[in-house]
Amino acid sequence: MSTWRIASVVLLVVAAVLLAGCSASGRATRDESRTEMASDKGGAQLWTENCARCHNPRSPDYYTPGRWTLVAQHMRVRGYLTGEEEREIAEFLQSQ
Amino acid sequence: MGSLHPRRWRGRRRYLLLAASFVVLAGAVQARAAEPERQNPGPRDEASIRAGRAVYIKECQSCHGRRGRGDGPGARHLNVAVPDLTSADVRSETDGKWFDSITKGSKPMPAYRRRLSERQRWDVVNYLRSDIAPSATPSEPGGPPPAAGAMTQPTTGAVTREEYDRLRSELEDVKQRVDERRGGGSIFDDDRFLVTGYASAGYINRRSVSTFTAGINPIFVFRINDRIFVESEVGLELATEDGVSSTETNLEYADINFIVNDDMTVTAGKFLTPFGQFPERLHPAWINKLSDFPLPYNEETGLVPFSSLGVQVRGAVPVGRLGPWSDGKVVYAAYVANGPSLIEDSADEAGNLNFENFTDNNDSKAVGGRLGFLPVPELEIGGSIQWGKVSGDADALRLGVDAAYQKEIQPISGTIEARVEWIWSSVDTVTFDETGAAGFGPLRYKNDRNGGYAQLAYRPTLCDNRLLRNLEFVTRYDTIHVPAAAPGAATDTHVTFGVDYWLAPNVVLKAAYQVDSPEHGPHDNGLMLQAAVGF
Repeated sequence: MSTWRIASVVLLVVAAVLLAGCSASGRATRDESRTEMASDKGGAQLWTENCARCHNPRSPDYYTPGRWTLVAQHMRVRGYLTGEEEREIAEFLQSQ
Repeated sequence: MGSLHPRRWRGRRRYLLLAASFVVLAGAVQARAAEPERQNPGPRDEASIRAGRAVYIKECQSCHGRRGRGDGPGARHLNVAVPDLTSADVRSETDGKWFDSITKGSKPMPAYRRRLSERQRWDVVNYLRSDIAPSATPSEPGGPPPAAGAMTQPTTGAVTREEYDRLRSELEDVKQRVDERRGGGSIFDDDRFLVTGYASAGYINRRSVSTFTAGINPIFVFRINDRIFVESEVGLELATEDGVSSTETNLEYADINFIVNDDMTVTAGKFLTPFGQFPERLHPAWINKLSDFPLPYNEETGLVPFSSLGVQVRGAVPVGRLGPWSDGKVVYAAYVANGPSLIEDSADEAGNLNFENFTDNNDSKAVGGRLGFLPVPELEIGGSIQWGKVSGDADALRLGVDAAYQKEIQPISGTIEARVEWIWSSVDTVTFDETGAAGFGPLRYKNDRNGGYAQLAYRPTLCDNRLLRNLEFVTRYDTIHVPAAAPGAATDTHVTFGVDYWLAPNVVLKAAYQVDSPEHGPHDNGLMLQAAVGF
């Protein structure tokens, strides 16, 4: 693959990140509409649905609430969760 | 907590703790003063029952089950049995007691004081009373008199001096502990650092080898703030090659993650390759239901690099309701990485790909990615690609498809999980050792390979017997097709039958028998035993 191809791929990635970053500044309004969409499901349901896709989920009392913050962030990326799903699941796991 | 900076958050945490202490104190005083049990404000009408049902489905059903029997899909992941709401004991409790249970929770059930409004909590009580667990009739012999328990509590409304002093001293103690921690946040705080990972110990008895095995893979996660975290896995394994034993230490992955927004994360470093589902998500010993890897994902002779060194963009986008489907989600990953290199000068391996390409062998990079679609939460289908130059004059293209489906099915009293993944690899034709100087050439063959696996697992999750419930039956067919002229790799097929016993959600004992059917050579059938722990 020649240099210009790499450059164009890198540029494309940078552009995509910038675009997404910019839209993140309008986050509050966007997240409101998200909440409506995700509100069909509670954190408990999202917990079983998403975690069990790959492994047996751990019980909410397996970790402290602080630890769940970290674990949810880690697993959000590995398990392809949306930000909204991460927040709902973390809230459920922490409110034991 | 939104976007609070950790330091500010710790500062605020102090005040939150203080405020919480006052709330506890006030609550304790109030609890003494107020009537201990609430009366249902009613009315238990159609609207309230309907609203309660909606809340129940969303917040309660996944553990308590559709009919309140404590058999929802989440129940089996808890350390305690979920009570049967239809039991006589629970039915004989008052509305006020139920309201109280929902409000306060009971580990591991969350407290719903803040998650649900008071009205919603009463709606749930009304729904339960009307559809799930009707009252035991007051005239029923042995049933408790309605709300009698509530009246036997002391209702003096006064807090004694003794109680006040005790609460006061407890509050002072909490304040002191908070002060001690002020500004003293450490990297070892619960929300900043975690060592997790997995370990395995096994025994293999094949025709070709009979040995014990062991390995441990600690994973370190550092959470810097709401947007950034670092993760790394170290694989420590015992290996024997050509009769020489050694301990292998591998940096399986080490990457920095930046969460751009709800739908996107940028990852840089050495990351698990988002190709199919197995390398990224299913390979840890406590997740993989069999103790070996499917042939096309074998780390030495497989078709795809388990990890890649580069930059990746990934995320998930909810797509809402699409036609007959609900709550669809699209997941994606795209990356630029060093990519593999073609092995050209080895008589034993010419034509294989070297995935451990830590210093790129050429100026070109590999690009790749995966696009997945989840029309419903139970089903995920995906397609993967990786393309790049692997030597001076050869490109390599890998394509993959994957699908996974899980479902708890009442008539078979259990959960099935079906997985299929297939990979096609194509490397441009190259003449190896053209002059014959290396002693094995010239060697030239069409370097197309493919392989895949199909796996079906069944666990009787709805069975009443605990021993049976912890069993899981697994069968897998996996195969890899390699050109006959390719050295160092061979067409092979495995069929494996396994039984797993789950001692805990993250502890499993596996036993499996594998039937090996290579294109050439002896069948290397064998028994595989393994204990695996996720920690």
